[in-house]
Amino acid sequence: MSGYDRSVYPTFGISRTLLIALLFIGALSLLSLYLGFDAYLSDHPARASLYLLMGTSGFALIGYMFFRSRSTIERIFSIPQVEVVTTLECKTCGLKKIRPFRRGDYLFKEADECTRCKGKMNIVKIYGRERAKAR
Amino acid sequence: MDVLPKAVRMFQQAGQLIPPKNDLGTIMQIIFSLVFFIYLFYAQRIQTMMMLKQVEGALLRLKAIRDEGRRVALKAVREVGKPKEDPAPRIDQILEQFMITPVDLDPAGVVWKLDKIVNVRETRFEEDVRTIAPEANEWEIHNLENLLEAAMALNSIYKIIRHYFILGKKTMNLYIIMQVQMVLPMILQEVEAYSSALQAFTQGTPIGDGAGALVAAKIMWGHQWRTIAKDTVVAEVPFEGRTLLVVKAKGPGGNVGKPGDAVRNLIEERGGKVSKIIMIDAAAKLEGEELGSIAEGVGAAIGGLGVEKYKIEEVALKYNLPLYAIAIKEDIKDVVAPMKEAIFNGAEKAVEAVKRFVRERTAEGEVIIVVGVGNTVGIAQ
Repeated sequence: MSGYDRSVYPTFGISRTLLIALLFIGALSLLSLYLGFDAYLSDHPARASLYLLMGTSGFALIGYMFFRSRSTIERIFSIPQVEVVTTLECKTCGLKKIRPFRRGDYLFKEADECTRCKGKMNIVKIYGRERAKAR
Repeated sequence: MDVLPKAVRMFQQAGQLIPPKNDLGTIMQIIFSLVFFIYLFYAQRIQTMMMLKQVEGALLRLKAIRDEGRRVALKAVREVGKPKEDPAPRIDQILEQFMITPVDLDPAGVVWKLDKIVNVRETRFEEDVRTIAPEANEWEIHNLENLLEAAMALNSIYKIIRHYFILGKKTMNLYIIMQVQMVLPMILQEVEAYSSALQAFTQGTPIGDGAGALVAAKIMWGHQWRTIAKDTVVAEVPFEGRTLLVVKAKGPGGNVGKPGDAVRNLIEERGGKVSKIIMIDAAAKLEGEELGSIAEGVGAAIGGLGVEKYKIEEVALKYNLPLYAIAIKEDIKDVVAPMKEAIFNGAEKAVEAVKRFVRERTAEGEVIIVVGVGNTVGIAQ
């Protein structure tokens, strides 16, 4: 491992500033929910709806920010990888074969043996297909 | 001028959304007041801090990729070169190497000075790689050189962005930070490209930049070739009564060769009896253009510092030879990444374009130089 400095994201993989903001919003949302239930029991349904809406919105926002932040961290530390494939063609019978790239492969190299006629197969194509590899 | 009273009215209206008849209303009013006054006096500072946060995020990504570059280079040197001593300190020293370009106050002859410096740098770099990887063969040495150059580029980009980030944080100057923040998307794109290069040079797969070399390789495959300049080969290919002198860097190791020297040597060998020069190279595509599409034009199709381009233009002028160009379009992120199938297909289209050009614009008996420009990693001849 290269030892990336993840110490800036010590708690749940999110930054300290964001964690403080989330805790603050959480406290307000909790208070709002409490007042909402209190207002509901005191026969103030309009006020109760407002408080309950604010409380649930606050918690929804926390959830959204939490997961969004985590995906950002994953993106920061992911290194793109490309899947490379090699295409071989038999000089004698024209059989084509595609297999994953092996170290030492290069274009026009005489590589594998033909499975059909036992002739020599040449590498005619090497190309990459993109895929993301999360670290 | 009435911005402030308007803002105060707006604030009062916002505050009345939740009247302070209860606890939460009071808390909300206090928060609104605080936010309003903080924003009134610290708006620019907040904007600066937000920009710094964005740059910091990008810097973390740059650091992750830079560290990966060093790790991959170190692993490759250990695996391929089998050094007796720990190569890490030497690799760290290589990553910090630099090149000072010649003074251009008096530009006459500056290209030859630059050529000299580039040659010295290449020789020194090759010697360094041979020292840390004594067991590596010629191809592997070239691939390791390319791998270390990618790691060097990542290191230098990271350090420059870090410099501006720290400077911006120290001074809290919006304009310093803004400059970095504005170019970040392009820089990140370039860095992503270099991170793909690490994989390509470690494994030795063809890269997007090799499209030109691939065209030359396809034309010269099966014909006798010889070395015409440092790390550069030529093959004489008969084609419908004409003679094609096909030039490319010597593969399959990572190499760009010296196409300028090769073209000059070929023309001088034949006493100037060459009718045309056709150059094929990968070119940056604009957004919206198709990957691997080809375009034809005139001039010397070759990038880099400009030394090789200058040599080709000089010799073409001296012998009054027309220069034709075929470009294979690709994105900046594809240049050093493993070659995509669309670029591979583009190279096949370019081979057909070369053949069509020769049929249509040259007469039988003519000699034409065809130069496939680009890094020939993973492409033999």
